[in-house]
Amino acid sequence: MSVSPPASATPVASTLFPGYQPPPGVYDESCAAPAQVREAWGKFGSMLENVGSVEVAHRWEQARRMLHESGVTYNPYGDPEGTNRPWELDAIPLIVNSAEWKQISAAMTQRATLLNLILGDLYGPQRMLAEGLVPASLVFAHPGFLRPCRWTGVANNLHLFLYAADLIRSPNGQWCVYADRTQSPSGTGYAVENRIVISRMFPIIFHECQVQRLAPFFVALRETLQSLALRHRDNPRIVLLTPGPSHSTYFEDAYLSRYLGYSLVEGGDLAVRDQRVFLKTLGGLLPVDVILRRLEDEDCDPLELRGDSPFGVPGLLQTIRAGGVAVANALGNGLVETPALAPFLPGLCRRLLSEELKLPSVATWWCGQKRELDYVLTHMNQLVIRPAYRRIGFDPVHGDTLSAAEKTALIARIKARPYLFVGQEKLAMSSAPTWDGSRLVPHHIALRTYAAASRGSYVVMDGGVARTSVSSSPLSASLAIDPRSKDAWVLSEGPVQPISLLPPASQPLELRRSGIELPSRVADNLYWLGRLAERAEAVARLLRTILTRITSELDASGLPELPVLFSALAEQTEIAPSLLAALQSQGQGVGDNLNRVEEEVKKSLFDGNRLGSLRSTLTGMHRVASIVRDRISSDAWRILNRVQLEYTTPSESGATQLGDALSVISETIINLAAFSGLAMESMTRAQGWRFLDMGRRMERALTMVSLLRSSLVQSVAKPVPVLEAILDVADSSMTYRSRYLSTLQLAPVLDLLLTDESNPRSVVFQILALSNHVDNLPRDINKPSTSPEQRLSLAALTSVRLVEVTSLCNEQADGTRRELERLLNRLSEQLPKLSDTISHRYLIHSGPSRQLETISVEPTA
Amino acid sequence: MKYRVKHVTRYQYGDKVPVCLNEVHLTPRQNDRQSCLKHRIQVRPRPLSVTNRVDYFGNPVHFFTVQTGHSHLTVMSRSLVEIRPSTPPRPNATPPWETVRDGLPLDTSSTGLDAFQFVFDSPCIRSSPELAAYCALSFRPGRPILEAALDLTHRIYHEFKYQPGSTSVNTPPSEVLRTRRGVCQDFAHVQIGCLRSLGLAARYVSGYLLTQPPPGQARLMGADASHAWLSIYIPQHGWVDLDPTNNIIPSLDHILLAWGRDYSDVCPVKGIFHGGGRHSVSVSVDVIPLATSSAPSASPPIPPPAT
Repeated sequence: MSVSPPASATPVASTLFPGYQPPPGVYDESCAAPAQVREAWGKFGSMLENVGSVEVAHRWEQARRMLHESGVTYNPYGDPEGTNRPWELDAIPLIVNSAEWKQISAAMTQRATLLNLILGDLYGPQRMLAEGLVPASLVFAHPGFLRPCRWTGVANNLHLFLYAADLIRSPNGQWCVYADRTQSPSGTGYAVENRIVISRMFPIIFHECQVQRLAPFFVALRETLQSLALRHRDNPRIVLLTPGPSHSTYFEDAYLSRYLGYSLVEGGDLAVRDQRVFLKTLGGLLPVDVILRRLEDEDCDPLELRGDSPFGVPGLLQTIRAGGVAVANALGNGLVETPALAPFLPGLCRRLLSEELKLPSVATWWCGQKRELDYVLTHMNQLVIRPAYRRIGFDPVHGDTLSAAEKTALIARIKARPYLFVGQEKLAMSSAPTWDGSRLVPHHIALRTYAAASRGSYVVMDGGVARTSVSSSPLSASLAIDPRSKDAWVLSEGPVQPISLLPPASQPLELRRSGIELPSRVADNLYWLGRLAERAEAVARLLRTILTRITSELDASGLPELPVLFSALAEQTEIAPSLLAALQSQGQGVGDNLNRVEEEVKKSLFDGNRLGSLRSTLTGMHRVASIVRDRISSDAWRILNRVQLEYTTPSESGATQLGDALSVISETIINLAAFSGLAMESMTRAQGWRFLDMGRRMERALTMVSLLRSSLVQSVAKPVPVLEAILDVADSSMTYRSRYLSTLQLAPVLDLLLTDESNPRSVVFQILALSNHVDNLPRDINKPSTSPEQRLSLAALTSVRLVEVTSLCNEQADGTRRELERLLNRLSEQLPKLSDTISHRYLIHSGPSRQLETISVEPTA
Repeated sequence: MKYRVKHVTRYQYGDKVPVCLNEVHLTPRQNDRQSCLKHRIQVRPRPLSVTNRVDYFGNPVHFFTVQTGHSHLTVMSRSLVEIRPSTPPRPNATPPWETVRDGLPLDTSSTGLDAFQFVFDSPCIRSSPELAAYCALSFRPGRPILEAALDLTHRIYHEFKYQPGSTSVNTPPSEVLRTRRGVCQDFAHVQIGCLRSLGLAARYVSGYLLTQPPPGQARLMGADASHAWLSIYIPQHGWVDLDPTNNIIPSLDHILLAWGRDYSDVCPVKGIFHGGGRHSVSVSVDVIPLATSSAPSASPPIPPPAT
């Protein structure tokens, strides 16, 4: 049986589709002929017609904004600098009718079952090789055949837990498999995200078309994963192991872990101890039962597999052998991803399942066999030459695009090691309508489908990720080449039952007060997110205070606070020392330096390369936030994205007016405040929040100490404007005025900013909060004495509480306020020490793992 | 012939290492020529647990984790082995090398499959036209395989300079072929790469070599070292060892530890640790022949090729 297109195509009246011209020579998913819409698309087409192209365009804009704001990204080159591209989604879904899907679904189940059996044999008894069902050279030459993985023992004999196939439809309407993905197939998370966006865009159409839901697939996936646990069957700890933010699918990893309810961990968060895997958390090591891995095979265990992999968990393989942990998918699965296996699948299917293969692969010739090699070399013009194995440094090429010289070179290369190459039939992929902003245009598509193991068989996701390509060639269907995707709608024959990933209401939930565990690495990043958010706010406020003064109508020469403000700014970011000196010698105002002052302010705002500038601080903050985005509420994330976007836009014009800058800064300050407000109001008071807030308090205390030190230790001739500016920077003018009206004096200002425990901007307020956090951090209950960080925070608190504000105001003969200086110096020693102690104890559990120096074997001389 | 072997590896770290995971290939494997009568591995500081298993190639492997903080790690392996002399076939009686090459892919017996896997590239060894060309000078058409292989061994011995420190564990054979210098591991890799480039099966052997002190001098403790050589597969006869570093067919002086596709499969001590700062390593090996009825006899060198 083969999967073939529906026989009839009913013409449906439509005005959107008449303009749609399917390209000649290929199968079009929506139309059997121009203006002749296929049955499955009929309802969708006519309902889309009712919506009308203007409204579609409007909704599409909204949907794109939603995608952008929720920050759905795809990092195509794994760039650590985070050049995330937004995930591109097409407004028009790919629609597949239920009869056709049943065939695809059965074929997917069959193929997954078959590949699982093949893996079980090749990583076990290798009967297939002895019987000659597969040439031994195909396996032995395969760099992905990982010898250490043989006989490891795989939980429930399930090598292939999650499987994906890339399907394309040839001009005759036949679906075929273009590529198999068996290590850790990506895209299931994007399928969910796409579905959410498109179903919100067309809620009524989605409902009326009776589209099958994706959730049952994930319910099955979760159930199977739980069943793999070798211990704690009822409530196993399952983690999703990601290669981290630099990897192309990090967004999806974070998304999936949240959707499935698993902790998102990196290799460094896990530790092997005594044949078990543990998650390093603030509270200590917690045993892990099942790992859903998103790493490539070779990256999983630097001890036994690729020694230079920075991502994996050393000792993982040995732990699997010892039955200490279950890993899905099993390691070594990359073996069956090779297209070289395709020609042998029909025979293997007959032999192992006693069935005919239901879904053909794209016709493939593996050059590791004599006859096939000859065929490929003589028919190169009709074929695509692809590498048989990944990581061999060869990209697919179309034979007919090569020059004579290139062809000769390629032939030599193939002949030298024929088993590294396959030739594949060139297929023109089917086309489907896509939305170009105002109308429907055809694009070629490939469809990625998924199967997850469930109760001895497989459950196929009723949907998938369709990807579009502008070229008509049988594209190398890699996400990296063209990231535009489509939702895939599988129609149901009857009404669709809604289903949710949440447990049924009938099942009583155990009440819990804390969520999933907090890995130390995440706590570290939250701490820095807190620090950077506060740092951004501090520098923004300082710059705003400076800007309002130099752009005001007042005579710029009468600004005695300016030198003070600039030296405060110099503490936060790089300011040219010569300008600083010039301002200080001037004593007040800007004098001739106005242009340079403006230049420096601009750079402190917009220069991304300047350390401590508002722009670079915001960029750093955004980067740290993206690492822990699975811990940040989606609203808070949206705000962070907005800050980043709005802030980076004006600098690109080059001719930024300082007046415009003022409104940009104010907007940024409001957004930052919104972020802190959300963090306060929407995070439970668990350890994650504690570290975020500790970071904020630490940074605020440090900036306030440095602001006071640069402005008030040395007395100035005209103190009032200086005091006013400082109150401005510290956002405490309003409080001051409500207490003292308009009389500005040093003692009350110092009290308000330093020792007033009720002012959330004062130094003592920050230290009190820090000391409260420190008291509540997890610690060894067997050690009742106070911890070093408790002692440090207490010392800092005492330093501030013991001072007499009036004596801080005493001046020496040279105008220095010695006692104030001493206090601020002591604090600027104690606070960083406290920060380091917290980091050492809770955050830096261990550095990156390293390899022992390997010993070269040297013979006796 | 019986030997007592003591192989000590010491790692020294700048800072304390909290955890170290290790996999070691330090147990002499058994075959028809060698029995391992006694074997013991000691690790200091004491690991929490030591597990042993047999790897993909049939070699014994130990896996252990040291979980107490340590600034040095010592792995001591002691064995008592008995070795029987090798009985290589008469070189000119072996089949033409092309016959062996063509037969390898067709033999699906377990011995045949086992040998066939050693034809292909491995992590440290990539076959290349250069290696094939170098090899072809010895592998003239129709030449008996062992005769040709011995000729190749002889040429590597004479044309390459033994120079410790000239290469690292990561130096590819193609580069060694260019510079013509290296240590035993490199020479084994080069000859394996040569043989595989012609489609023949060759595997890497790790072990020890008994060193004879200069006449009249006492044996120095710790003066011996790990050694490496290779094996070539000859149907009907099985695997024949070749030592290009010493230009001999290993017999009673070579003690077998493990075999694999190349060094990376049988690295004696492999480990991953956290922290530790700078670290250094020292190795000492002692191979002590036990008094037996027959005196240890060195293998005769491979004669120059008959041209």
